[in-house]
Amino acid sequence: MVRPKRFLALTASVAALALIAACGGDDPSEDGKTAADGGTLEITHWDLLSPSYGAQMWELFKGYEKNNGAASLTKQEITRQDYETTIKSQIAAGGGPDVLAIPDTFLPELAEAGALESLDGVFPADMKPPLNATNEGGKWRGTQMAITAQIAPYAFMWNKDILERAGVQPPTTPQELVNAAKTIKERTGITGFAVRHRIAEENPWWIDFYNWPRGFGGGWSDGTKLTIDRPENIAAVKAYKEIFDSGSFPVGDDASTFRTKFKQGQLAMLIDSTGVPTAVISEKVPSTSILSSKLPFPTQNTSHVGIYFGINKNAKNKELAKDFLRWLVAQEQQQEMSEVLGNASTVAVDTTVPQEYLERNPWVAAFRENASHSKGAVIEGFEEKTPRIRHIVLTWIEKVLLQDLPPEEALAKAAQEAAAVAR
Amino acid sequence: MSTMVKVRRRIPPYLFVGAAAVYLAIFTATPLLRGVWLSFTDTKLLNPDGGTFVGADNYRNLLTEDRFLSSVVTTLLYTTLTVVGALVLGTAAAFAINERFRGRAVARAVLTMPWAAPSIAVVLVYTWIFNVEDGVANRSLAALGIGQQGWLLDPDRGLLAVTLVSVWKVFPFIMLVVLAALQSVPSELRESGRIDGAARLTIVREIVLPHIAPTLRVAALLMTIWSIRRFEIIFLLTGGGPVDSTNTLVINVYREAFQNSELGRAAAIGMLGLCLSLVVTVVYFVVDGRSARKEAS
Repeated sequence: MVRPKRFLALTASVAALALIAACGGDDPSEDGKTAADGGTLEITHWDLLSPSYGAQMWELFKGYEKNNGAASLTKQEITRQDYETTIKSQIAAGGGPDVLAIPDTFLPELAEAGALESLDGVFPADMKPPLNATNEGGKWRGTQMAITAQIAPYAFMWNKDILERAGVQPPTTPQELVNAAKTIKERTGITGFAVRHRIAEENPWWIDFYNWPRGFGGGWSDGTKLTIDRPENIAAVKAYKEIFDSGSFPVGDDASTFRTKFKQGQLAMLIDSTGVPTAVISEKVPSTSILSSKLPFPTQNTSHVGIYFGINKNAKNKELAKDFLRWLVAQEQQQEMSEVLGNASTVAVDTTVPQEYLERNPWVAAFRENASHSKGAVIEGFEEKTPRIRHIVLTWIEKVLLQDLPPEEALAKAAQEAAAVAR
Repeated sequence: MSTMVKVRRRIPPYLFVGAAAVYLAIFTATPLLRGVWLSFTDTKLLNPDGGTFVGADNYRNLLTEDRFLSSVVTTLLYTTLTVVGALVLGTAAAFAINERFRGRAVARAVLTMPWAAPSIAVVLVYTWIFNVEDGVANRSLAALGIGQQGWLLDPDRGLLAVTLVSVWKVFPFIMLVVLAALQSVPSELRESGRIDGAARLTIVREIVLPHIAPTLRVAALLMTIWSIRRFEIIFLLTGGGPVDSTNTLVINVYREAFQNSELGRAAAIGMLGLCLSLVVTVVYFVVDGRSARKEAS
């Protein structure tokens, strides 16, 4: 028989424990660990290898150790090219990093496979400043699976010194782009314009290429059915082919090569995302020589590189990982993150850019303006099928570029093959 | 000899073979059987234990897909060109460095370098060599009055470029193996040929080649199997493009398993690739057996 006093004491203790656990987000995870228990937290993001800001990003993350003395952060370095395959293999084997950066094209697959820890309820509803709208992209089937690390829209960039030397105005239409590229080549010998165009860079090419259908008012789906061969997409591929054949396009160069050319003042114009300008600033091409605008296409729409942070379902201490993310989305850390990324990307909460910075880096403004017109390259309604459809579409676009197949025919064939995969 | 001693003497061979058998069972047979099972399921990479049995669907789908059949043809073409190229170049190089000449040691070291060089470094160098605008290959052709070639971009050149790099990378292996075989040709045989008045080419054809033929056959077999399985050079140079022109079976396996996460389909492609290797091996043993019988008779 339980004595009333002891029963009351026991009940009070349980209630107190429950109350403590419910407050402060320090719930014990399935394995009973709390954030206060600390431990090692392994974090991965390919940007940690970025020569221009990887070290700063890591320093920012390491700041968490001051906030939680029991935590120790380690990083796993994976190159962008091998990122998805490495992460998939590790998670499939029951391991992987605790906190990971997740490209938007990869998020549906991870979420659908149950490889991510839900973040519902992790961030207080009344947090100041609140998580911004970009975090909606981290939801999967209504559950918050990840939060925004960086939304990097694209913009049209040019080296103003080269354009001035060639006597060329920054183009605002596809035809002006072709003319400008040709004129630059004729008058200066410098390559006019570059974008990705090789299947060896399939995943990033897909995201880059999406600028063209987006810019022409097209898209790959309407959310319920594929629209690969819609007229706007055909017009976009025609324009892409025209600049590819202009004689002022570095055929065969991968992104790292043509970006290096831009950095050395050997390339005049490119369409690239926010991470690129800070990496191509050099003595030959100072920040003030790089200008940017909306894409020279009919609409203001662009693609974007969407990157999110999520927690691996196999994480050793999930509460610690959640606490880290809570710390990371606080205003101070987000402002620092924005600065590390060059102030041109959107992060998890809204941040500000000092006027003086904008003056020193005139390319920033257009990227920020394009952000609200940007969209990720995951095919809406066909998220999990995106990798297979991507390969089909890009292979047919290769045929347009390299075998002069008419864009109408190529996209019709791509649509047919993709429909079979999507079934 | 007592029964005990007889038993003791019989045990060690079983132990030695047993150790190898256990190793093979763990590291070869088990993954192989697992691969066979996976090829009959719809398993996804992120859920490797969650696949369901789909019968022969993966095989049926693959064998009706143009893209897959084209990758089989590409694999056979790439393998044939690489093996023939490596055999011809490797054998010629072996004959050359088997001769005495000043600087032979240096020549041997230099010719062996491609084999020793890491594939990733080789690929990086060749990516620049094949660069359309600034690459050494096109600059050299331009000097000869030949226009720019899209080595890694043109679907008609992609396989050629990848094969050239592969041959350059692997021919030293053939060279070293053939060189060892050449050095084992008894000098008396060559000498007696010379005394009989045989021309240099006749000695090579009638004495040296028959002597090194078994070595060449083994080297060709190994080279064939390695070429069917070669991944890194092709993937890093072209990623299977342009327009799938270098999309071999292993590139397909990689794409299905790691990009599309279709582990079941990838396993089925792997099994079909394994069958291809087995056919080559069986052909080798048939040819080798016939040669052995011919020599014996």
